[in-house]
Amino acid sequence: MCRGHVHSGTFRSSGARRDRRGFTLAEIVASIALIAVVGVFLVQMFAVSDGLSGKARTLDCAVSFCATIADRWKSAEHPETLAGIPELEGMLVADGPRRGILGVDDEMRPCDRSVADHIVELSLTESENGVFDLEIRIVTVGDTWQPDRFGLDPALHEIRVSRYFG
Amino acid sequence: MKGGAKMQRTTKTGLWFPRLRSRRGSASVLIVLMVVLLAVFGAMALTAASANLRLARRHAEWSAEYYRFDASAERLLAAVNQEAKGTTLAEELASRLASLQVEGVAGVISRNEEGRLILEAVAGDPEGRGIQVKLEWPVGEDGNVSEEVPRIVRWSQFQQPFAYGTEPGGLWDGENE
Repeated sequence: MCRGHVHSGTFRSSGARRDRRGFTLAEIVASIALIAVVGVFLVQMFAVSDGLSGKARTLDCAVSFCATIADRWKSAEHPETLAGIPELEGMLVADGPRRGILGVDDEMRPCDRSVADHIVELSLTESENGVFDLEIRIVTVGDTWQPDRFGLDPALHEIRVSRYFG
Repeated sequence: MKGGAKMQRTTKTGLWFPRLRSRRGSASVLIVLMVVLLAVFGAMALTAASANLRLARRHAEWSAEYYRFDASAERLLAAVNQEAKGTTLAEELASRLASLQVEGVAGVISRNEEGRLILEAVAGDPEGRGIQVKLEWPVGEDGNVSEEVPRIVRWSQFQQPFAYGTEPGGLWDGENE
């Protein structure tokens, strides 16, 4: 009687081994349900994190790009023109040599304006006493962006650089 | 006899020990642990991404602010050059420069010192962040500045409350070593 009770959990009466370790169907169902419920929030959390990281990366790239253009322009020999800045090659001149737009991707690499994620708007003005002002704005491309909206859309990042050229 | 000994071992372990060794619910425990782990990593990722974005925004503000200060300093330089074209007399130029008003520039001080006319100013907030500018003209024995265009001795960014030395701030002195 005792022997039969002890062995009943591990051996069949035929003598074949019966392994009872492992998960029952109810446990698997409960686990999957738990994962499904909690997983929704977790996936959302990771998606939000990824979105925030992407925004931070884009903003960092925009700041770097603006600073590079600003420093190139400040060290150029002819501040009255935007020509000669390698980062602005392929720029569409909007209104003479002192105003231009450039399509860039999320990492501020120049690309065709039709597939661009952002538009760089540049405008160069000359104020009194031989001071030149360069305004650099990076605008996120929306459905509404058109060249005639130059300077009107809110900028992701913008700086105003001046240089005295006496 | 053998069966009796086995039976004895299993009953000797008490009431709680067999439950502790039970595998019931182990899948749920595993999943709960996994979920907790994922939640912790998710929270850490969210916190890190949020801090990263905050830092990026602050960097963007600092960058824009730096170029604003630099623009004010450039306007100061233009205004100073304009004033210097009007007169060559050091005393008169010093008094003109002391009353110079340029937007975004504060603490303009000009003085004659050891044969030099010196102008010091801060583009930005003197109590916070800004760009320190120091310009210098050599003054001859006749009391006139000998050069129309000033020499830029200092053009460096600062942020209080750090103390800065008297070095020119990385400016090239115009001489090759």
